[in-house]
Amino acid sequence: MAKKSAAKSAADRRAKIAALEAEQKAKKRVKTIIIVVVSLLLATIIGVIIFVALQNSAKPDPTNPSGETIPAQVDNSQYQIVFGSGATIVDVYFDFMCPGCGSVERTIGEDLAKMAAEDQITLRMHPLSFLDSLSQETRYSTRAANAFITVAMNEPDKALDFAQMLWNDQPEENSTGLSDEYLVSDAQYVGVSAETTDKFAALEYEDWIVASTEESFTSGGIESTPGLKINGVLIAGKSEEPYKLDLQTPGIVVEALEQVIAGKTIEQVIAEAAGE
Amino acid sequence: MDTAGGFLGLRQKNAWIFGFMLFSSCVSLVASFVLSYDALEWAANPNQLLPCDISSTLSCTAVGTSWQAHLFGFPNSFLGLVAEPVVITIAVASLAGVRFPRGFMLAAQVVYTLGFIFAYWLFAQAYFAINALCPWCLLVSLSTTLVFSTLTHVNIRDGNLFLPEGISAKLQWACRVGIDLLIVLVWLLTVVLMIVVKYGSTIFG
Repeated sequence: MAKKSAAKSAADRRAKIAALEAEQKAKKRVKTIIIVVVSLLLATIIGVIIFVALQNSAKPDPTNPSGETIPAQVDNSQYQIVFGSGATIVDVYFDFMCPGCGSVERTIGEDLAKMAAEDQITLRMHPLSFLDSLSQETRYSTRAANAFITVAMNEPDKALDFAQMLWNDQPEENSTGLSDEYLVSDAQYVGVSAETTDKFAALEYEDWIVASTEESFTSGGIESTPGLKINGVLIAGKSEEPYKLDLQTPGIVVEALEQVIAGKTIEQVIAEAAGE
Repeated sequence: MDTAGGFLGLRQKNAWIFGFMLFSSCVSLVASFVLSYDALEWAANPNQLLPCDISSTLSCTAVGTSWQAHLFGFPNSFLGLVAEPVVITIAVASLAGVRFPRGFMLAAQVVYTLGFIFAYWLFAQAYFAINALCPWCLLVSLSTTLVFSTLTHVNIRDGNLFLPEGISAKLQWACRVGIDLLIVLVWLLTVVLMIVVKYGSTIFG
């Protein structure tokens, strides 16, 4: 009886030791598997990163994908589309989906276009796409900005008319935006050729718009749209601050610009407008 | 026969498991807080960009304004604000020596498993449907994975899951030899690989 239980406990001990040894072995094996698998995955990740980085450096300039000569109206270094050549510089930052932009543009857009056409001001347009999420995944902001830039690149004299059409037809936020066909018909309505509108669908300036958006919100100093600068002084574009000039009443901005052209600084004009 | 030594031994210790759980749940809480704050900010002024809008593909607003981000009618991150403090409490109490009843830990496991599934459902939506990633959401995915793995580990180790003895023993053995570590590492690195494959050109361009 005693002998039997001693033999049994010896067998138990042997089984225990065998199990422990098996576990040690398994630990070593799992450790090896972890090292191999993790190294392989890390190597793949690093490989992909290097591949992507190399591919990017070899890519043609995203601002000029087709390599064609860019008309003077499009300034790639600042991601802006320039109209007119007056000494007074007006920067406009907008997203075609932003209701505030629409309301300001419908008030002052035509005046600015006219002053740019007469070379009284240099109008620099910055189309942005950060409200792409508000068009039920149809990316209206990008599509509209791309159409605008395409027109500016090919038929610059019709670009601001086209923009005004888009503001007049501005879709509601969180709708699907204007369709591609609608963008084409708006462009053709203001005289843009079919040759140009045929290029809309390719979204050729997608990367340009991404870069423009980044640029405007970083070095451009804009926090929200609509953004407006006169000679570099921010009139609108900070999310917490009211506009420094009344952008909702027709004529106010034109009057302010005329005073600046006549020699006043924009700061003086703002101060006087606030004092009234 | 140094069964308790080394990193694999340390991984079975309460100090490591609950310390790591505490750290991960704090990270998750911070990320949830930032996302909740941003959701309120954005609701107050939709025409603005948030600091985490790095580009059109690395963007909090693109993800945060999607229907998926408000699946239950409020920002998902509110759930993190509710759930993570519970995990923090469990971790701190356990570090101090408290042992919770098995049923309590099982409940925690069930709820956190749902949270874990939800976190990766969101990741999949962002990756495949919204086509944008938000940095804070990724941090939530990461920390949720870490909390889930430590919670599961401790519940397997302590037999809190009311599993049949055979299965429980097998799972405990798997944790002791480090198979759970292998799974978590492969999981996380696969996610990183997916992100790099799809978004590498935006992130490293």
